[in-house]
Amino acid sequence: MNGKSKKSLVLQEDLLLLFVLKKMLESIGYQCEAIDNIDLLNGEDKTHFDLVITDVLFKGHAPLEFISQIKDSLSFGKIYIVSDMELSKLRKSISNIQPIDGFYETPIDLDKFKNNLLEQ
Amino acid sequence: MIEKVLEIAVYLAFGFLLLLWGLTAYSMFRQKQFVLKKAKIKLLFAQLISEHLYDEVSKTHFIEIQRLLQKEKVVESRPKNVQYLIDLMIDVENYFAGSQQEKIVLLYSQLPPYNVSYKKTLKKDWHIIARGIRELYEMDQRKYTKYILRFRNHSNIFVRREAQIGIVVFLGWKSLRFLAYLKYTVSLWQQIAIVEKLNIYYPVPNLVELDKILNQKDIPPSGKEILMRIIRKFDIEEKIDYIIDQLESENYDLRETALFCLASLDLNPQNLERIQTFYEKVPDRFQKRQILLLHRGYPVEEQLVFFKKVLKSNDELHLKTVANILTGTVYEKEVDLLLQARKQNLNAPPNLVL
Repeated sequence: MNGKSKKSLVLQEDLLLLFVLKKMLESIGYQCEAIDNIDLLNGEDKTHFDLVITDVLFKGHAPLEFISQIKDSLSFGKIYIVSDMELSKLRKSISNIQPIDGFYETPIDLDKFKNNLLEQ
Repeated sequence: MIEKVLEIAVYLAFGFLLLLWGLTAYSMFRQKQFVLKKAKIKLLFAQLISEHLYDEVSKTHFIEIQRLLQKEKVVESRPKNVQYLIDLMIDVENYFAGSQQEKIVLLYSQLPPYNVSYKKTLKKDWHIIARGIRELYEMDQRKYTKYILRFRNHSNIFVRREAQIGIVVFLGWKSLRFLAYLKYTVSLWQQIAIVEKLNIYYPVPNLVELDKILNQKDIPPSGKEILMRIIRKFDIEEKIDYIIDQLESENYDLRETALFCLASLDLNPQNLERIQTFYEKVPDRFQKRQILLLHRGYPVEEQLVFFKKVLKSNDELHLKTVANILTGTVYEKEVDLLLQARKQNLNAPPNLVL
């Protein structure tokens, strides 16, 4: 990658997904921040992320409320949802709150996901 | 004297209480320790798997991984830790698909606890054997395919259940051959599990392999039920006749499954014509009604000859079902007249198309 590397944020409660997604982003030149506890998210921090990959299921947070929270508290370019949860029923409601660039349910083909990110 | 005895009893009770508290505290402490250990193992494994997938693999890569795991006490003498690592491996296996999976399987084959799953299958307890088999297929350890085959007709339902699913995971459409040699009835739950696994791991139908098993003679009823469910799940139009032909069976459950599958498939006029030939042969009147209900939603004109035949029968349930199917069509009034005439024991009014 030329010049300054892009910034990304991965939000996943499951450490396995969190670490693998972080590594994947780093392998394509992103600078990556990985968080497994969303209470650590600081609303006052105005860092702009070029890319956010997040789950929608976090302890103590309803999925839709969480998306609204993300929308209000973070500044980002693209946002992808990666989850172990079935998303088919939630897609529409989530997209109504915040347009999403891609939904990925487990099992995820990491190579395909990576290529999609590179193409965009 | 009594006071003395009472005093001793109180001391004893108090001592017993203290012991109980002590044991509870110790068990809580151990549990807490294990939770902390689990967190450490998970963190280490998350790091290892992410590095394994995306970093350059050196010659000492796997030795290094083994060393780190040993340092975290994931060793044979600590079976709980080993089991936790296996659970994590299965999680990862379920999280990722595609080419990365090969790398994951390679890593598993290099990890020491991996043999533990095989060793479980050598135990006597059925639940341990079943778990061992499950771990082997969940972690895609294909070299055990032949070994797992041995358990497919195990006397314990849970062991053979896992073995049958394992065979499907490893061999896909080819595995269906085992359906011809089933010794025990396969429960509905298990039938669905087999079909779902096939769909997840091998979503593209292999008609050559399917044909081989469909042409086999003497498949047990529950094997035939699985085949019907597969044809339905994968929507294999050219094999719908196989399901229809099961309507001729003397086995009630087999006919029931056939009707269930046919109800959710798109049937063409030839299929419906074939189904109609079994109407008379099916002995159960409720299943006969289900055959009639299969005609709902298809053009009425093509079924008129068949309906006409049914309307001549004396079974009121069937008459009403046909009337119901024809409701809303141009034949509705005629059928009403016919039913009224029947009610009054009259002959059918003349000049009916039906």
